[in-house]
Amino acid sequence: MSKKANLKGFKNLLHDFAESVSSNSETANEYLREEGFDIDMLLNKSLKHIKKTELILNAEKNKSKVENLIQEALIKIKRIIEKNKGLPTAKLAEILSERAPAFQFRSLEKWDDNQIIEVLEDIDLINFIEEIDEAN
Amino acid sequence: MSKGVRIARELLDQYGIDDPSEIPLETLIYGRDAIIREKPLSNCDGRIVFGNKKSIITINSNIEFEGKRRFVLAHELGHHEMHRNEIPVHFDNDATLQYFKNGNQETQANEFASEILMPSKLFLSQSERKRFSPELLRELSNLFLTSLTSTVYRYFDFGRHPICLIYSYNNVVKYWKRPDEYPHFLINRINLPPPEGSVAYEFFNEKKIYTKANSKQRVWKSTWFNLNREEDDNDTNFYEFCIITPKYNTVLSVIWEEI
Repeated sequence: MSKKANLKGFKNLLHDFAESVSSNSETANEYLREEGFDIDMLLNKSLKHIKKTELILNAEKNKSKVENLIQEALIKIKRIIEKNKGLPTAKLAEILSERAPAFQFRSLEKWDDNQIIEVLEDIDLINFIEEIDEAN
Repeated sequence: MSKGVRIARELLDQYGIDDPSEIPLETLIYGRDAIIREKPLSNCDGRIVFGNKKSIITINSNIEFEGKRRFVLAHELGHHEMHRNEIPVHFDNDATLQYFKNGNQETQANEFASEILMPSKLFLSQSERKRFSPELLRELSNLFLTSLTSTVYRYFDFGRHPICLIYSYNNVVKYWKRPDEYPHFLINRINLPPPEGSVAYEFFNEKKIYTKANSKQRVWKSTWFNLNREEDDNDTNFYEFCIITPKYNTVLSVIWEEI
């Protein structure tokens, strides 16, 4: 047999061997274990890598979406924010209690106007973001 | 296992995170559908406002130290994970971020934050074979990118060497904590000034702050503890290391014995 035919035969043999090992997970695992690989550790590590990658992709997607939504929402609520700035404390506290009823249980009298205005801004912001998000 | 620790471990497990340095904290927060805004806040370090699904976490942009910033963010993430259906807003300041004098939700959020930033298994493996010292606390704090204060509390819970913690504010002891079955009796000084001879006393009365190199100071056992019958101060080796925050006039004394 020629050298070329020999090499081809050897390649086919290797291919068949690899095929028989990889087509059966038990054989494949046994082969890898014999070669000194820790299968469970490798699987665990790979799985964790996949989970982390999914988290990173999801976080990037959320962040980029939210950054656009914040800009859009801030434009929409700008007028409300400005209006709130001119209101007396009692009125601000009233609006806050209406917008978020659970606030009636908090000691609102200890809050300063800025805190109430900022929280109202956040409440409006999150509501608008969720509305726009759902509409899209 | 407390709720805060359990939820934090479930989260780390869900994303295959063994070591918090593998994933930026901000990524974890955005991945959980919370939004981070950074701006100056007048009366608090962090705030969270819940929507139906998302939350806005606002962090005070004036926080000087990265360790504290990370703890506040992790604490707010804890509220996002555990308390979204309970109260629509949480404000967090130095008081709520302290471990010991708050309600259930703040404690849960603190426990959550500690486990997220310093997973107990990793914390133990990084500290168990090392001798306790202020340097070790700084090393752990640098490793986990956490504040020295939160690292001390973590060490109290998971470290191998027993330590006692005494928190003073405005020259008054507000709180103390010692390990269960600690063999020495800590004198209860709640609402009293720190004792003469303590490092805390030196700060409040003489404005003395030791350099890093000298931050481990020998103190007599009788300064903070009862002496047993027939026991002499010279029989024991007690040390005090203080984390001082002049801005808030607080001192966290870490007391330990070397045998």
